[in-house]
Amino acid sequence: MEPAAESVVVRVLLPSLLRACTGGRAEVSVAATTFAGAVERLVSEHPALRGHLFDDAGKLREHVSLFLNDEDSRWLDSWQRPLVKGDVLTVIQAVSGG
Amino acid sequence: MSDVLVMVGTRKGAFFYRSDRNRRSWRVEGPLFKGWEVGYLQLDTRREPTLYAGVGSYVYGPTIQISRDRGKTWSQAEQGPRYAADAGRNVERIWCIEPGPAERPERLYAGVAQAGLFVSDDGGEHWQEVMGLSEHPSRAAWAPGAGGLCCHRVLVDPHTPGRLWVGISAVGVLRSDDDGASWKVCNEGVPIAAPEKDFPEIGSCVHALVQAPDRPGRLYQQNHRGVFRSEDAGDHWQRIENGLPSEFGFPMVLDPNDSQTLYVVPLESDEYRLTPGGKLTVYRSRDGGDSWSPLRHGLPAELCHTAVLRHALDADPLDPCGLYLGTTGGHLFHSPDGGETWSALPGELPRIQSVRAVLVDEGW
Repeated sequence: MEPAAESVVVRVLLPSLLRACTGGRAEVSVAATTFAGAVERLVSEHPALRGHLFDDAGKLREHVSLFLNDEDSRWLDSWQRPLVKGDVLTVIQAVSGG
Repeated sequence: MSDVLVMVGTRKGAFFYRSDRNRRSWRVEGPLFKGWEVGYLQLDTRREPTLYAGVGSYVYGPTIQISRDRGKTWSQAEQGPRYAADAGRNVERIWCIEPGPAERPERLYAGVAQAGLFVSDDGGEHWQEVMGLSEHPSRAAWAPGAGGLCCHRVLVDPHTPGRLWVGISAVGVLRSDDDGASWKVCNEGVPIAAPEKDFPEIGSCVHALVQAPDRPGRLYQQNHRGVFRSEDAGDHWQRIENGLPSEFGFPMVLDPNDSQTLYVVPLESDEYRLTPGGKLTVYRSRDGGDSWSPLRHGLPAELCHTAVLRHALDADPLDPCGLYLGTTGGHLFHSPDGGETWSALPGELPRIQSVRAVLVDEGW
């Protein structure tokens, strides 16, 4: 059995509308081994965020995008992507145009 | 209680208007919840005064915000209304937040879209779905109106313990006599806008629903297809449209001092949904809906092609009552004398979704 990967602390950047969920902070950090783990840590440590990122069925809201660095999470082969030092997770609203 | 607080919810934030009881000079605060749609605001005074806001976003979904310090700070409900993960539906919007019965000061109800009712027994921090309504035999036949499939009104009967009504578009009025465990459809006498094969009593598009607090069993509703009164807790409805220019409209409010006096804002048909002739006009009845008269002194008499949404008209409890009307064009109008005269309050706001007028202590 392989040893468990070590947690990596990553930065999470938040849009202004959601900053009330993090005590007004535009940036927080979470420790996890994978992208999925980082998202779960984010909503566990800041539970007010959960309902704004995920719908009642637990699915990522249609107009919310989570980026791992410059990759949209919808493009990732797996949310189990291991994290590496320096990774940045960004929450943005996926609405463009008028 | 010596001051008036008018809470205005808009497409992009909330605004608070405050005045003393003369209602001549107003201070405006806002936007609160900047960028968030505020569909409903409520003050519960059954214990320490607590403010509630139904807040949401097209992107980030809805939630309930709570303030226990007169609106200075707000916090999100710890567990807002959400359907079970396997329910097959989402809470898309908080349509109303209503205090429960006087003897249960920690209880509140929230009506939501997609249509459902939630209850909290801890002052609004945690909410549970009222399964008796969600599991109504007709639930699969419920269909949305133009504003979505929304439970936009909850009434708690002060006379009959355990009795509640909900107004759902485009389903109709339903009543529970057992604290929400079971529900009876109350659409008899009201046209069904969209008849459904298996449940022909379902499909009435109630736009506003109010109860006469001093007359047990009396209800009024502004419906998509007319204005109606019930004397038997919703079992039967009669039309009350004498003097109205149109059967269509959204809001309806009662004078808190006189349950025979009520107000509506007719619109030109469901096709157009605009103020008739470009004249913004409120209609008042002083005889429980038997007859209606126009009130427009001070309201725009021309080039006012707007609408007033179902929660965007309210009355304060002073005597004479003050009336507050918000338009989809973002203008707020006020009458300090029961609708006789009107004037615009300051500001050009985003689309006004809701207006709530309450009395508060001086200095709020």
